[in-house]
Amino acid sequence: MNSLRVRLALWFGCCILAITFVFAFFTYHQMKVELTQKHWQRDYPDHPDWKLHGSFSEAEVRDIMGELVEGWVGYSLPMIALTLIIGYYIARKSLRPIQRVNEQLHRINPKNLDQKIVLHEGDKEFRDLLDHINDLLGRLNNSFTEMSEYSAKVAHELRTPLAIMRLKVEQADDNIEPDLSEDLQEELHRLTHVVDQSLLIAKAEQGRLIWQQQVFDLSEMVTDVARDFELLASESGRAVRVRAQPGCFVASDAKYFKQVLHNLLTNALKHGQGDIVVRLMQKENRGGLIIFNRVPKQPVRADKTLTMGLRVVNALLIHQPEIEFRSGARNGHYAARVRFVCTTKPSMTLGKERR
Amino acid sequence: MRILLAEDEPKVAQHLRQGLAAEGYAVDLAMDGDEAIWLAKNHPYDVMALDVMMPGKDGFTVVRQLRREQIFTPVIFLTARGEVEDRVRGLDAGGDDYLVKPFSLAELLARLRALLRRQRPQSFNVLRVGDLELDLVAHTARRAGREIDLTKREYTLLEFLMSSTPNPVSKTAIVEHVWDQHFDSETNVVNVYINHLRRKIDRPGSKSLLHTLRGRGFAIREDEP
Repeated sequence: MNSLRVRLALWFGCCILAITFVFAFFTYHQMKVELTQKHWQRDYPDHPDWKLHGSFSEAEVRDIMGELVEGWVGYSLPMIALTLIIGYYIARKSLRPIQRVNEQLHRINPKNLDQKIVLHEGDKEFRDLLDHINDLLGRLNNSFTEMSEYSAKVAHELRTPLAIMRLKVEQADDNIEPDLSEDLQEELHRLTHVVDQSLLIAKAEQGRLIWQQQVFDLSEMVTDVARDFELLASESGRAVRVRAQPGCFVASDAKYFKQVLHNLLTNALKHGQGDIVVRLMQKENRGGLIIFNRVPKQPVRADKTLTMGLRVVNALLIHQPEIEFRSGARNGHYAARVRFVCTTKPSMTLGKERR
Repeated sequence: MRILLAEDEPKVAQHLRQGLAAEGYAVDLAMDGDEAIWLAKNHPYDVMALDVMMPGKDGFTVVRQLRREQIFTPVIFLTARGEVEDRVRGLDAGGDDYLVKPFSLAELLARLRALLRRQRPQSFNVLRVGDLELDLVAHTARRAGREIDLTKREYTLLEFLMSSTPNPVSKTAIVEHVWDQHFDSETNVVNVYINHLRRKIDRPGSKSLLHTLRGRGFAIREDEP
């Protein structure tokens, strides 16, 4: 009963039935009164040639009324079906403009927000609605463009002074104490990274990040990314143990997926203890990536806020319905789990954009 | 080598000009898109470095116009806009490379050299420092004729160092050039890879080529710093 068309058809059918019922009831009642209660004058002196009919017994009256009811029931059943069909047809025809508007709205995405909804037919009410929807789309397009421009302007405003500072430090490094020069360069690099990540989080959380869909071998990516962390972990006497099921292909944005992987491993290396275990598994078309490690009993971050790296992961994956991400610490172990849909190995890689 | 630098931010322009001049480039500076077009049409340049967001015509429009006028000098875009769509727009407009601000001068120089190499004969496809050779086509490295087994990452690192020789490259520039992901500055990824590379290049008994310059980074060169 969720369809407006069905509800309108039922309403139309019920109205017709109600009217018919009132007429039928009135006819029945009036006829019964006329046949049983009215005392008709049976002689007409002024018209001696009139042929008279009538004089029904009680049984005959019941018979007549019974036939009337039977006839009413017999005709009304097909009438009900017919009114429902006609009602559904009229409702569907009346609501077709809404369906057309829906189809056009469905095709609108952030890249074509400047498109207008067009209806060549439709009643005045629909045209008014259409004007309002188009106004709304126009305002949405303006604010979306402004937001995109704002991000670009912020990036520009912040990156330009950073570029100047960096070039200055690089050029002046003969005159600066070496350790200071190195520290300054590292801090500038860190600041640049914070600016980049903040803009990325802002864009991702607003759902304005465009994922370049492509099929890639996640097993290969996991092994490649983990290699850097194996070397880094070995410096502090730790190890990264990778078990990646080969041939696990994923249709997603390789760059952002790599960033997720990188951030999770950085998190494990920076805030965890002991060996880092990386598992990549695939069962039919579902895949799972688990990264776990030991953590101090007393959390490093008492305020329970996310690190920037994890915040980036959350922001990147929140608008990806086919990727599920969960993480948390339990019994001195921290685990980050990413579940995703696997695909088959491509004959050739094709890029496709998706928000 | 003559380079056209179009950059509307005076301080960035000044530092880039100094850095490029120190490397031996003759630099002409344009402060807006129209000036860049005028200069490019009237002077032969080996390479152009163009800011994207400039007054008048933006960098993309400049390149489109130059390509229409059959000027095919290699172009590298310098911009604060680092989104994939922006890069695609830049390359589609006729650019050859794209560098996002803030960048290291070493990174810009390496990319300019790579652009110039593409225009030059085959001999530029082999980089040499002393008896160390890096074949940019075969992706192989040899020292004194002996092949060195390098991972993909080590090869990229060595290429960056050798293309910058004799100048040092900072840790930051290395992280940005070799990895496509940011490594936390607390991690020691560059030092770890440099150590691995050093063990492979500077074998016992051979002259040391890979040097650490305190506060400045790392350099590959024959003479001691």
